Amino acid sequence: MDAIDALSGIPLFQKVPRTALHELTILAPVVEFAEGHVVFHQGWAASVSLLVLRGQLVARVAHEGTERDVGEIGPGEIIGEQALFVPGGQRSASVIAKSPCTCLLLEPGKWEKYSDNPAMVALERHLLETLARRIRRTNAVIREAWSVERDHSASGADQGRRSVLRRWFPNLFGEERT
Amino acid sequence: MTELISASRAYLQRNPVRGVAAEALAEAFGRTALLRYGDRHIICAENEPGDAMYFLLEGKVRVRRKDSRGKPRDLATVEAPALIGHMSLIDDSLRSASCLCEGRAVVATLGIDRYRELMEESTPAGAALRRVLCASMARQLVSANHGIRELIQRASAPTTSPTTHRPPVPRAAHSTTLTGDRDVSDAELLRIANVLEGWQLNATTADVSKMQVVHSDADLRRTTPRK
Repeated sequence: MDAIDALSGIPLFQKVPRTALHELTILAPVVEFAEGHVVFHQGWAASVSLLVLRGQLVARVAHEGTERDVGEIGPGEIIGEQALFVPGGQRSASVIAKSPCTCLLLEPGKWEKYSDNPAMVALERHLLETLARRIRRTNAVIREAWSVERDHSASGADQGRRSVLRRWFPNLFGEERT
Repeated sequence: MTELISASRAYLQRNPVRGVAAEALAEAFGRTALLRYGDRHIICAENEPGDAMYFLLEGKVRVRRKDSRGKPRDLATVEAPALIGHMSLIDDSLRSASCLCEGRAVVATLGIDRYRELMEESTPAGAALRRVLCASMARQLVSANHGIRELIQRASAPTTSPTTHRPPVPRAAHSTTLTGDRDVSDAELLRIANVLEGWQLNATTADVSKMQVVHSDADLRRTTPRK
């Protein structure tokens, strides 16, 4: 199976003509990672993004000397999409290939010129949905923390403040729930 | 159209987006008449379905939301040029807050039908809208994550240490006001949530640019050759 076939198999590209997908693979080259390869390192400057075509990856966060897996990433998902739009950021997690992986390498400045390519349109819509989902998820966690925090403050349980923060943010940063 | 182009240019100067021209962004909003509202006009109301997004071309908008006790709270004041109300269209959610004009305001409205057309269009206008919204949300996430990380660092730091480093959480570059009847931590959580909602978007860019570069994943291009 080549990269075009892999792209065609992803729902977001199912209605996109193969010629457009072929152009996409020229603008966004295919890269492959062996199992165990560290694709992104937490703390590194973020300058590219990846669209997963095949394989599984895991996001891992190091915090205070411990490492925890915080999520799995599979075909059709985008990794590090913020790097496409916000220069100067850093990777918030390490990303490691759990199995042999094939991805499209998305670099800022390369694909923006091709707004008439249906594959780009589909990719941008997918980026929008991905970002919106991440915002909603993060916001839900913050609101929960806010609500619990307020209750702790109101009851005078000042000591609870730290534990509340540590309790509600781990699914964003990999810290252990206690 | 001149008004739209001028506002688009100002918006993109404040929030640069690669590959987006002011004319294309203006074109995305170009099929509707500009609406001029008076003081206290409600542009959109909390908990209503999103049927449009808005480009605030002139004036200010006050963002108001009910707290958990049902009391309306003014969260922020957004100044033109700004995009408002897009999250509801992107994920079909209810409005997270109400937007009221603070004084006179000029607004371009993008209805949901035209929005959906633009999302599918392979035109400069469609691409401009998609990319501007992507960039806006990416900034929201980066800024909020930055703030959350700082909160966690503070929560993790020993409270007895007089030398605990407490870097300032990013503040809005303009006219954002938080009500002060809660403790600091509570207000910070609320403010980060507001960043995520997009109400304090302009607080983010400067802080992100100050992030320290440790390494670069530019190596990715060299170390993962195509098989």
